[in-house]
Amino acid sequence: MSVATILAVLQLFKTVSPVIVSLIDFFKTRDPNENWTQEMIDAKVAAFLDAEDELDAEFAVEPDED
Amino acid sequence: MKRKLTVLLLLVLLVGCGSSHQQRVNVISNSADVLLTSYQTAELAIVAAHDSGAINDELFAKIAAKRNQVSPIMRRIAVAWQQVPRVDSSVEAFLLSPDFQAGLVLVIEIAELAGLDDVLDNLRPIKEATEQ
Repeated sequence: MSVATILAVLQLFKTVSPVIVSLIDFFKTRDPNENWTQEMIDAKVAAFLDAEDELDAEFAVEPDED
Repeated sequence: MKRKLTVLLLLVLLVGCGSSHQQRVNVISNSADVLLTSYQTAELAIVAAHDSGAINDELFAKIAAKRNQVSPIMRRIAVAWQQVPRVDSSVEAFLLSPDFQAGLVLVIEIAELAGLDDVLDNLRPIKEATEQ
């Protein structure tokens, strides 16, 4: 094996290793709050808006009877 | 070899762009989640305190007026958050938007009026971060 081949292999490894690390990071299981998906956001927003509709009644300012 | 390198480069770019997009969605989502959750926690605590008599009618009316002012803003923030994964807006654009800033200030005011220290503890770091 020539020096050039060894250098080429090392160069390739240097290039590929960050990709492997990124891919592992990308696909590994994480805390749900670390990686928000559209579905998670949609569910949170829907629950927020529903609760807000209910709380509107609690904070309704009663009109003066005068 | 050239083709392999091109494919590798495209993969690197794809992963790079994907993780940076996810990072942006995460930062915005964590901030929006803290603000909206803190706000609703405050609302529930205020209603409970009013029901138990810990907050009198006069103070409740004052808080309710402010809450009714902030509610439409918080609804708009929630809808804007829902759009974030699909649109290309920056973290700064979201956190420094007039709605987010106004919502943050008003929820802090409500929490101060009601004496909700836990809510204030959650929101102050966001306020300080957006002021920098």
